[in-house]
Amino acid sequence: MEAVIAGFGAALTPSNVAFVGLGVLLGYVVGVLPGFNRPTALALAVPLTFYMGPISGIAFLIGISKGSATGGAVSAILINTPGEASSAATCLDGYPLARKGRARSALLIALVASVWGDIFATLVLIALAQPLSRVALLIGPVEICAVLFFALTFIASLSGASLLKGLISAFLGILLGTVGLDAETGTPRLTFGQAELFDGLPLMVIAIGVLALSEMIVQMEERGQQQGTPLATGGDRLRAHEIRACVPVILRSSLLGTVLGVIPGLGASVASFLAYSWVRSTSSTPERFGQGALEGVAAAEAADNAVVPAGLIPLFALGIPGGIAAALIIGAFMIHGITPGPLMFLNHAHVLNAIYASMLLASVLMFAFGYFGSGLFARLAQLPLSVIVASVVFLCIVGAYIEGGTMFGVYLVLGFAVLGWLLRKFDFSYVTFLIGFVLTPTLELSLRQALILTDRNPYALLQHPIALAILAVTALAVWRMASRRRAVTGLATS
Amino acid sequence: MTRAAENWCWRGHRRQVCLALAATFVAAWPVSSWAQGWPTKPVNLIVGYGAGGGVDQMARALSPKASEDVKQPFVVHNRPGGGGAVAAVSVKAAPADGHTLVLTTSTTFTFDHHFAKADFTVADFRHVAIIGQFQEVFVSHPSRPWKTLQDAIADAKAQSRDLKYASFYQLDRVVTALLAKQSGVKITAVPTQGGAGVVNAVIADQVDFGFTGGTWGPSVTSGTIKLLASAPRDPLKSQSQVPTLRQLGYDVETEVFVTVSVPKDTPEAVVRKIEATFNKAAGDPAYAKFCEEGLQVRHFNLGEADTKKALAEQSERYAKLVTAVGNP
Repeated sequence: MEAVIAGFGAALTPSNVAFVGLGVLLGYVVGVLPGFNRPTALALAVPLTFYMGPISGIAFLIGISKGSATGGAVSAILINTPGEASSAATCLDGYPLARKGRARSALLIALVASVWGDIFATLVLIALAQPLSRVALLIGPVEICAVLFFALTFIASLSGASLLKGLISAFLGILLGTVGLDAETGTPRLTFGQAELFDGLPLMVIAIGVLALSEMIVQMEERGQQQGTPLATGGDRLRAHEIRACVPVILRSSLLGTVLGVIPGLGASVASFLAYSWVRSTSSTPERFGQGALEGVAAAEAADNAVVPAGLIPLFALGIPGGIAAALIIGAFMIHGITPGPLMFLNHAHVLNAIYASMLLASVLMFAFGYFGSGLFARLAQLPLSVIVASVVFLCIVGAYIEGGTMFGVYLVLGFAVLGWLLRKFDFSYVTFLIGFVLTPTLELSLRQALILTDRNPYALLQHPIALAILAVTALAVWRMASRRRAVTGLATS
Repeated sequence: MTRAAENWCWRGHRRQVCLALAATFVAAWPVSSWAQGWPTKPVNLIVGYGAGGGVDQMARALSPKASEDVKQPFVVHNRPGGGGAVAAVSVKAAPADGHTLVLTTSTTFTFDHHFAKADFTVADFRHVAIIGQFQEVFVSHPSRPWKTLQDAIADAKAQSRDLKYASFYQLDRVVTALLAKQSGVKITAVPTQGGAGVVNAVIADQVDFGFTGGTWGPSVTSGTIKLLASAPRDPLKSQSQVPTLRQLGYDVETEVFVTVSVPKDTPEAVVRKIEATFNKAAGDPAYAKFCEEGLQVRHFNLGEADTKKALAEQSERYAKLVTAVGNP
């Protein structure tokens, strides 16, 4: 820790502060705009870091990553359009809050949760990178698979009124999650000969269609019926009891995001949906979720932001690139003659400490930009509905075009808007649909890997005690839910 | 314009009007058809892979140099999907005027169609340049007692057990199928997510070895993984002591070039200009250094004639390989 404080000496030079600030600001803007995503921003920024020192260069890139994770919440809350795929879970309660005239509160809670999740995971990175990365190595495909099986049990508690309908939408999500080339054999599945579908359906386009665009259809219908609903914006203040309710949620979700972030390959989207599901299914008032619960926003954002620094733990300690963003950061290290991995802690300790200090600086700057930004953006919610609907539809189409790469993305988003509208109309849960879709690709890949690595031998599970424990908890959760359900239906019939 | 004025224009000055029209047409003709002024507008460089990957980084390193050379911006668009197929399909359909180019790997044209049918063939394009070659390697955890891939195979044979490896994509499955056939050891592919997934699985020691094309450099330097063999014909540039598959006695090699292609009807003069532009940009020493040190990509560049020949040979070689092992 002392060394990190010494690192502040190197980090607090005017040029370094400027680069970190620029990175965070750039990331924030990229995060707010749907269609511009984190990997693209990083790819564009990497050449710029050639001209910076190693500390500023790396801090600049990490600033972009952190900023985009925070900015993604803004469009999720205000216009139901996730700015980053990982803020799709923030839409679920963020947008209903904005519709109730509580945009400013939602943005503030999202910001506080983001910054806390980020700072918590950064501190864990600084203090525990090396021991934690050893634990991460114990988490292989078998364990990841068990975690995701457990995650599927959340579908039951998120289904809403009808479990059957919840399961149907979840299975629809799972089915669409299997579109693309088969990981093991390379055979195209459900692609109808379209090369665009070979790598699967893009989460971002689906989220925009099912969440944002379908909501606009609903709003246009309602407007026809009741001449629009003016937003009550006066007196939107966070109340003390609301903040009290959010504090434990933020702490729990930051922890979950950090744990999931350390495991390479899981990613921020899975983490934010899991945190949301966890908080919602353990809440004493789960019926408030989806209608505008601040805890829902806090959970998704804390986990989403914790993943960014936590994902750097295996990268810094072992040189494992968790994903494309991490691979780019490795590239930036290499350009400056530093190889991420165990030796970096010995040979380049001073650089590393200055990077740590810059990361904490980025968190502070992120709060400042975010606070200023939410004040500014919250006013957008007061625009007349006709203006909002028109701009959201425009942003949705442009975002889908950029994310999908071609007009194909636009056709997809329109198709999924209709699907989302049908789900709402017939009271099927779009939450379980999205969870099924988000979990499936990782679940399938890790299941396939696990089956191959264990030679399809069930007894091999005995060598994976962590996975066994998680599977036992899964069985317990299913049994408890089933018995509780039986008790409820028993009461209703008697 | 009033009716009277129209009449004046047409009736009294028919000849002049016709001449003026003809002159306009002639003036416009060279620009639109002969394209002597290529590029007349920004050039779209459609990259077949996502932002941040090796192919994308090469495109982004080249585009400023090309832009400077021809005084028009080269704009990088990422259209990932199907190993470059999405980008190739969209460029095939684009106007053949040299303002839309596809930058992808040679396997998009020469190999992938054996597994997933695509709406294009290698003959739908003019392949204008090769701007580098990926260097695929076999890697393992440093604790494994093997010096080369051959040791791993011999070890498995002696213990009569299978080998499991982290696979990158179909190409390595065909290669390992041939290794298995030649050595009699069963080699099972464990699918992973991209090159990073392979390195993860090897560092965590979940598999016997891994195959990867681009993300191995940093991990080899830091000693968290070690090289067992390289797959292309020529030894690795930076680590020539690592044996190639051919040196280990296997009749197989991988070859993945990064190519620049345009629709096949692009005018000859334009193709020549694009060829010159990319060869000049790719010949830049800073680009060469970035490829070799930053991406572990073998740096060289070829013009259209050599590229065409190389891709034809590659198509034939991969077709033979796929037939030899059957669809694995």
